[in-house]
Amino acid sequence: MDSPLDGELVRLRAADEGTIRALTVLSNDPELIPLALAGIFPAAEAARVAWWRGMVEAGATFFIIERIADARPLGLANLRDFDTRRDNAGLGIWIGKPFWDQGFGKDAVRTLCRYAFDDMHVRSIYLDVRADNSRAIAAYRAVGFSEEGLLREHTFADGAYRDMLGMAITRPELQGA
Amino acid sequence: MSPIPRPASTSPLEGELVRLTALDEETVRTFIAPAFNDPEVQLGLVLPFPQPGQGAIDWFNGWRGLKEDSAHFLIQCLATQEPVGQISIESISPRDRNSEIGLWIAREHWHEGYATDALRVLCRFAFDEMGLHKVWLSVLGSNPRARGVYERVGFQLELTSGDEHMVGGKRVAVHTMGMLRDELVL
Repeated sequence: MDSPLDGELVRLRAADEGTIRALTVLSNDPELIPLALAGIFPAAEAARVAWWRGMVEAGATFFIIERIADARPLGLANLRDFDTRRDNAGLGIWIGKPFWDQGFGKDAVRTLCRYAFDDMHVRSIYLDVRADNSRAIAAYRAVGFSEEGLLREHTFADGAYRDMLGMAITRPELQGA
Repeated sequence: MSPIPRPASTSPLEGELVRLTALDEETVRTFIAPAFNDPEVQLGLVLPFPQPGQGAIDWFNGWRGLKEDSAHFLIQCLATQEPVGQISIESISPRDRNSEIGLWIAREHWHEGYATDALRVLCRFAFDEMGLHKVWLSVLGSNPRARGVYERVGFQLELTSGDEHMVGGKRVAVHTMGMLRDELVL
């Protein structure tokens, strides 16, 4: 393996304004938004850039998920809320709908976790996922995440309050990396 | 859906023992900054170290009630008009209709029931005046007394982070507790 940011199918790259703009069309997918982009609605490129810039100023690190085969950007991931006393960070990720069910998300999460553990020295990583998003939950489980609890009626999407599942992982639990 | 009952007082921000009032710079300087810096108070919070007094004033001046995603209140004793602590509602999500609550009580006023009463007032305010669906908070595993207060008011344990928080050389769990409108215990 050449780079710690290379997985088997995808490569993580630093996000810049141009790539955030380029991902706008994928991120505005009406099926993706209620599943994975809590609180974020279809938005213009400029609004996506402003959101990204605000997150970066608050300390988040963003990665473009790029398909190794053709360098095409498929989605976006971030690590945020680095906490020294807890030694952890939160993970956020989305993959554009045309690229679902092909293993890209799993490969990206595994690569990002490995990078966070081995190069950023994060001890554990947590995330929230809609409890009815079985595709994402299966991918997180396959990478080694386990459940920490259920946040009841914690988000509103698709016409109803929905439970959110909290999941987390530490280095020894990471599978296949 | 009927209103949550409240004491005879006409203000939605008054309980049986306390009133929630606006912060002002003078109170931040004379009460909030020093009381918040008590190491015993900070042990229960997730801040790593004492904050310079000017930091509290700068924080207050940066907020000043202008932001729609958070509100911070002084907890005032009804009987003596004395400030006893601070309570906040933050990360208000318009879409999810939920919000995180944080509070602390000055050490000399612990065990007097102020936290319980202030929480009841703020939760009722959040549900019946702000129209929220849920409130939630975090509590350290090393702070069972606070957790007892939250349970008494109606918060339910939803998540325990196996990822632990460093306190006094030991790692302790972090619990997330949540409350829906009809779970508030008066």
